[in-house]
Formats: sequence, structure tokens, C-alpha cells
Amino acid sequence: MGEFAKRHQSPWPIIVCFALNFSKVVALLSPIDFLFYLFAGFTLAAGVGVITARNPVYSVFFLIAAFLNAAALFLLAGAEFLAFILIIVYLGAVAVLFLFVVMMLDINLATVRAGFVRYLPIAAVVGGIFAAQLIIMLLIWQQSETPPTLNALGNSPMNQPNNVYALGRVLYTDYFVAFQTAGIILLIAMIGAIVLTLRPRAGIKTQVISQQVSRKSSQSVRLVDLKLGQTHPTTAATAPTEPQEGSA
Amino acid sequence: MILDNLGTKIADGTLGMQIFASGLMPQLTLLIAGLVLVLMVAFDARGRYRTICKLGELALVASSVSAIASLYARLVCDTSPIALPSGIGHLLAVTPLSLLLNATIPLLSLCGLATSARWLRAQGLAKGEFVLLVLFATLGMQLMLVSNHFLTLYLGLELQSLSFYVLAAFQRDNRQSAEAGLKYFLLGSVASGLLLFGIALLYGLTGGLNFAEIAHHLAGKTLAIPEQAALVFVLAGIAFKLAAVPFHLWTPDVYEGAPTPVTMIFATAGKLAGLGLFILVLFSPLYPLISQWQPLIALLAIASLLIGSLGALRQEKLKRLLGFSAIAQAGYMLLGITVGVSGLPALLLFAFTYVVASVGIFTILLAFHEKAAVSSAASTPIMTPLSTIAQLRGLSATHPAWAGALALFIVSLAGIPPLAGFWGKLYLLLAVFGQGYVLLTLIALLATVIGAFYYLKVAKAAYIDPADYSQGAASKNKKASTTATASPLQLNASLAAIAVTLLTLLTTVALIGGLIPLTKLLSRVVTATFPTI
Amino acid sequence: MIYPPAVSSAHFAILSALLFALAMAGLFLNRKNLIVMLMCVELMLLAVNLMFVGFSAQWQNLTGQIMAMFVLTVAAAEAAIGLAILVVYFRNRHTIAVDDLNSLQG
Repeated sequence: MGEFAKRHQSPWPIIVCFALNFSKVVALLSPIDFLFYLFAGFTLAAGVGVITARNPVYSVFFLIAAFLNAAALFLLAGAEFLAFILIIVYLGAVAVLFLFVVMMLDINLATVRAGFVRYLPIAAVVGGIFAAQLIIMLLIWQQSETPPTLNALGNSPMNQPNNVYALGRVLYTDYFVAFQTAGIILLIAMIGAIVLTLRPRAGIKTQVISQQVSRKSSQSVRLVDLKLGQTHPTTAATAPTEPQEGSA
Repeated sequence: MILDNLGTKIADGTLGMQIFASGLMPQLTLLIAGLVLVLMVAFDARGRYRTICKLGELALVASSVSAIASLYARLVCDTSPIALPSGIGHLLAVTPLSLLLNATIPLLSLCGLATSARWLRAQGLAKGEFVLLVLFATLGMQLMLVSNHFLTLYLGLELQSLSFYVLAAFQRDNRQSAEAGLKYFLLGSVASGLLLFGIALLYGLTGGLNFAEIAHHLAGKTLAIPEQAALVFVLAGIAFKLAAVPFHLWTPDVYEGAPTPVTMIFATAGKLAGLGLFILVLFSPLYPLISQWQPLIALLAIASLLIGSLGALRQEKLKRLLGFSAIAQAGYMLLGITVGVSGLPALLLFAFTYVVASVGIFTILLAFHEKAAVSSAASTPIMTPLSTIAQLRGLSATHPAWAGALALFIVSLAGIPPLAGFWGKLYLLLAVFGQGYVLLTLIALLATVIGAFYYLKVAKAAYIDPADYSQGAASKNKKASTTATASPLQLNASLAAIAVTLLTLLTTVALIGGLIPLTKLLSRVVTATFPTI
Repeated sequence: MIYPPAVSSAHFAILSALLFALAMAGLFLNRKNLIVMLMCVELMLLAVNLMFVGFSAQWQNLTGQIMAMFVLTVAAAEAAIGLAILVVYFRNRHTIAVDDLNSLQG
């Protein structure tokens, strides 16, 4: 680095050169392709953030970033409805759920990070081999067929008149069995989460609505005739701190 | 179409007939019963566990009976199945094999429910949610087995898995149960991620997720790396459900940590559903890839047999031993799949004998759980009184009937001649040998010999070994057996009924004369399910 | 100079494969942190969804999008159950390290 700085007085020419070349490449990309590379890069970067963040709270935020960028990619591929439910369901509910749990559990950050360096090589090897295999496979596949480019994907005939309409048409007809099953899965998730974590604790004052509703005025309001300066014996006994009814 | 002219059909009763003929009655029964019970549990939080449990058992029986009736109509009366409306038929397909499995699985869940009631009450876990989770898990397995589309297959699988994760962690104040639930959840969700990745690759290759569509597209293709990758991912995902080798690690831990009635459901209903899933996926959408998956499955079978048998050898804990034995049994099942369609009848026979013996063993384990719970009334929270093999010693002296039944089931599982397990294994190995897989047969025989060793170790402890009171290590055993003698066994009616039924079933099936019609029935089911293969 | 090729569904597949591999590596990397492991599972399902959506655009049918939608639903249910089990585990053990999952050995 020292050599480099001596020979070139400043790194700026290199950076400018690179930026110019980069902008040339970018100029050759169609806008949609540029957006794809941008969001794909951000998604992967956020993914790296999720698995390497020092604090689980940061992991959750990186997860949110990954899902946001993935939603943008969904939009590029013409899946508008999915993009929006990804934001609403994932960022609105699931990410917040994760955040709640991270905050709720008192995690010792030091122990949580302890094995990180030890597992780094094996994780890198496993992930690297996995990714390399998958990409080689997909490249072979791409050579054998020529998939349509993304420019043609955005406004496809399947999305007529729009994506939500098209999805709704098949979801409630051709896939209604699946739709019902998904409902049962959500029901099971609710029952499971409640049965595992709900603990009725003793000594907690709870509101019993039925008792509240069935109360009558004759049971709760009592008219007491009091002289000035005199306290009613039962009122004084039951509620000594309350201001006296008659004195007001 | 089922839904045309709905009003008139309801009036003259043909709607019921059509729903029955569609073969989806078992699922509908469970769905309706489950939803009614959800309301009952929600509005009546505690106290009526007995009622809810009985209703759940009733629903499971009804589901099984309707599946048997549909199967009977298909096979014996030769009624051609009604064409499902396109919206359903695209996603679901009812085959005779799925009906057979859907008749058996609710009965296995029923055994789990019936034997668990008293144990759950003793542990303070008698909540209506337990029944709900078992019902919906059963519904998930049934849906998975009638699926005709990877979407319904995935949803059914997840319905079953999510219920199972919660059931494994159901004893939530117990460290081991929580840990078992967490392990099961983590490995299970990674496995379903792999399965989904495989499904996504298949979708990319074929453009559809319907089984017939996928098979059609794959049949016309030259097979290359992407197809193989998709196959590997799908296999990895479903191997988890059967506890076969690449994803077997959870089995011993979850079997040991989960509450025993839950382990019983995992080991019987879950196992059978996993087998059905394998058969469904490999013989329907992925059948064109048979030349690719046959060697892979053979490899997994060998690995499962060896790892399961060798792992079980050094186990001292009963449930852990049964976990390793489940891995080995998954190996036998994969052997049957390697053979192809001709091996399926033998495979099904083997699976049924395995499942019956497992139900018996777990019932007996639960009976002793229960007894200890009754005898040591609320002194300390009871963990698993009968957990190690050493604790079984001297059982024949105190409870000869139970010890005899346990030995019988164990010997059947080991595959010793007169019992049903032997015939199941024999037919399976003959089918494997008949296809010329000599090496596979030899490895299976080796695993059987190793298996006989560790199974008989259990039987010997229960039936032959005397209770060794002088030994210091067996102090727990001493305590358990003294309490057992102090309180004579209160025979729970349902437990006794199940044990007796299973015993008679085993002995009747054990007669060769009973086995041949059974194999005929099974091969008829298989040929009716896969007429073209 | 190499120009990047025009983006197609294969790009979605490759992005998805990279993200999936990243999630797998994350599972190995965070053995001490169960919450991050759960997040890795979510990331895995997101990768699968990207692939489904990309292929849905390639084949010009909605099957992939429908599948992605149900995967999303199930992933939400899975997150709820997973976090519930995690809370139960934490209450018993006061730690969230998966390496401590060892009371079942033996």
C-alpha cells in the first residue's frame, strides 16, 4: 500500500477511472438490469450481514433489509402482490416478532459470539462448495436453454389485467384446497404458540367481562342518607380512603 | 362436478354419496371434528379433557372407517373413482394406496391418544390442545398422502411437522422435552427448506408442480445435472421424515426427549406417513428418474441399516434404542423402495408389522410410566421411571404378563421366526434378492443379526434376568420394582384392550395362512395404485 | 471489457442459490445463537421464493407465484412456532446456544 501511494500521489485518478468505466458498464445496462444488479447486490450484502452481525438486533435489521430488497426484486419479476405481502407480512409481522423475542430474551452477547471464529472455516467451506455446485449447475442449465430476458418479464400476459386480479382468480378457484390448508396451518401455529408459552399466573387481577356486563345498578349504587359531618359505618369500614359521598 | 346443483343434491342425498365416492371423507371428517374441538377447547379451557379426548378418538375412528369403506368400494366393488372437480383434482388424487395408509394412520394416532390420557393427567399436561395437535397432525399426514401437486404435498407436510414440533416440546417445563422440540424444529425446518429448493428446481425444469405434469416433462428430457440436483434436494428433504441417514441425527434425541405418547405417534404414524411420502414422490412425479434414484436410495438404505444397527448396540436407554432402531427400520424400508413397484407389497407388509410391534412396545412403556406415577403420588415430579434397559430386570417376576407381551413385541421387531415381524422381513428380503441385489440382501441380513442382538438384550432383561437387588447401580431399579410390588398393577381398560388386540393381531398375522391373503391384498392395492408402471 | 448479460430468470436462480448457500453457511456459523439460526431458515425460504418468482416469470404461469405465496404463509407460521419453542427452551436453560443442546446425549 505504501508503494502504491508513493508511485501515485493520490488514489483518486484510479477511482475516477474505475468510476468512469463502471458508469460505461452501467450505461450499457438497461435500467431494469441495473436495478436487478443493484437490489441483488444489496440482498446478498444484507444476507452476509444477517449471519455475521455481532448483535442479534443488528441481524434482525439486516434481515429486514434483505426482505426489502427481495421485495424490489419481486417487483422487477412482475410479482407485485407478493412484493407487497412480503413487506406487509414479513416486515410488519415476522421481523417485529423476531425483534420482540430478541429483546425479551436476555442474551449474553459474549457467549453467543464464542464459537464464531472456530466455525468460520467450516462454514465458509460448506457455503462455498454449496454455492459453487449450485451455480455450476445453473450455468450448465442456462447454456442448454435460453431463458427470456427480464425486460420481457415485467408486463407479461399472465398478469392481465393486473397481478392481484390474476392471482386472485386462481387462488380461490384452482387452489382453494391449498388456501384452506394454509388457514389450518396458521390455526395450528396460533394454538401451538399459545399452548407453549401462555402461563396463567396466580394472583393476577383480570377483567371478567360477563360479570361486568351482568352487574345491575341496584347492586352497585347505594343511596345513603347522611347528616353533615357524620360517616356511615359500613362505608367507612369498606372504603376508608374514598371521599365521603355525603360530604361533597 | 360435486358443487353443481348443490341444493337438490343435498335434498336427495347424492351429495353425501359423491363426497364419499371422492374418497376425501377421511380428511373431511378430521377437519370438521378438529374445528369443532377447537371451539370446545377455546370456550372450555380446562376440566373437560376426557370429553375432548373421547371426541377426538371418535373422529379418528370415523376417519379410518370411512377410508376403509372407500378402499373396499374401490377394490372389492370395483366402483370407478369419481372424477374430482378440476380445482380439487389438480391438487389431490385419491389412490388405493393412499386410502390404505389413510385408514391406518388415524388408528395409530388413536393408540397414541388412548394410551396417553392417564399419563398426561399425571404430568399435569391434560390439555385439550394435545388432542387438537394430534388430530391436525393426522389431517396433515392424510392430506400429504393424497396430494397430486407439490403445493398440497408441502402444505400437508408442514401441517404435520408444525404439529409435531409443538407436540415434542409439549412437556414445556421439562428440559429434555424443550430441547427435543428445538432440535426437531431446527433440523426439520432446514430439511423442508432443502425440499422446497428441490421443488423450485423441478418447477424451473418443467414449468409445473402437478405430479403428472412433472412426470410428463421429465420423461421427455435427457437427464442432466439440474435434474439430478433437484432429485438430491427433494430426497434430502423427505429422508428427514423417514429418519433415513442423511437426516437421521434428530431421531434418537427427539425419541428420547419427547413425551413418550408423542414418541409413540412419531414412531408409528409419522413413520408410516414418511414411507407413504417416499412412495408417493418417487413413484409418481420422479418415476422417470428411476435410473438416477435407485442407486442413491440403495446407498441411503445401506447407510441407514449400518448406522442404525451399530448405533443401537451401545444404547442403555430404551427410547434412544428405539430411535436408533427406527433408523435401521428406515433402511429396510428404503431397501423395499429400491426394488421398485414389485417390492411395494412386501415393503408395506414389513411396515405394518413394524408399526404394530412399535405400538405394543410403547404401550407397555407407557403402562409403567403410569404405574410409577400412581404409586409415588405427587412426591417428586416423575420423569421417566422406565427409561433404561437395566430397569426392566426382574419384570417377569413381578408382572409376567407384561414382560411376556414386551418380549413378544421385541422378538417380532427383531424378526425371529414364528412372529409377524419375521414374515415381513422375509418377504422384503426375498423381494430384494429376487431383483438380484445380492450385496444389499447380505447387508440387510448382517443388520438383522446385529438387530437381533440388541433387541434380544432388551427381551432378556425383561424376561430372563432376575432383579438384582444387591447391585449398587440398580438402586433406581430397586426402588421402581419395590413400588411396583407395593401397588398391584391397576389395569387400565384402554391399555389392556389395546395390548390384547395387538397381541391377537400379531399372533393371527403370524400364521402363514393369514399372511398370504394380506400380501395378496397389498399387491392388489399397489397394482391398482400404479397401473401403468 | 465483459458486459454483464441481460438479466433473465437464470439470474434469479443464481441469486437464489447464493442466498441459499449463505443461509446454510450461517447455520454453521451461528451455532451459539439460535435466534440467528432461525433467521437463517427464514433467509433460506426467501431464497426459495426468489427462485419460484423468477421461474414463474420464465414460464409465464402463476404456479410459481402461488407456491411462493404459500411458502411465505408457512414461513410465518414456522417463525411463530420456532420462536415459541425457543422461548420455552430459554425458560428452561437460560441460554440460546445450540452447542448446549447436550442433555440428551448418551
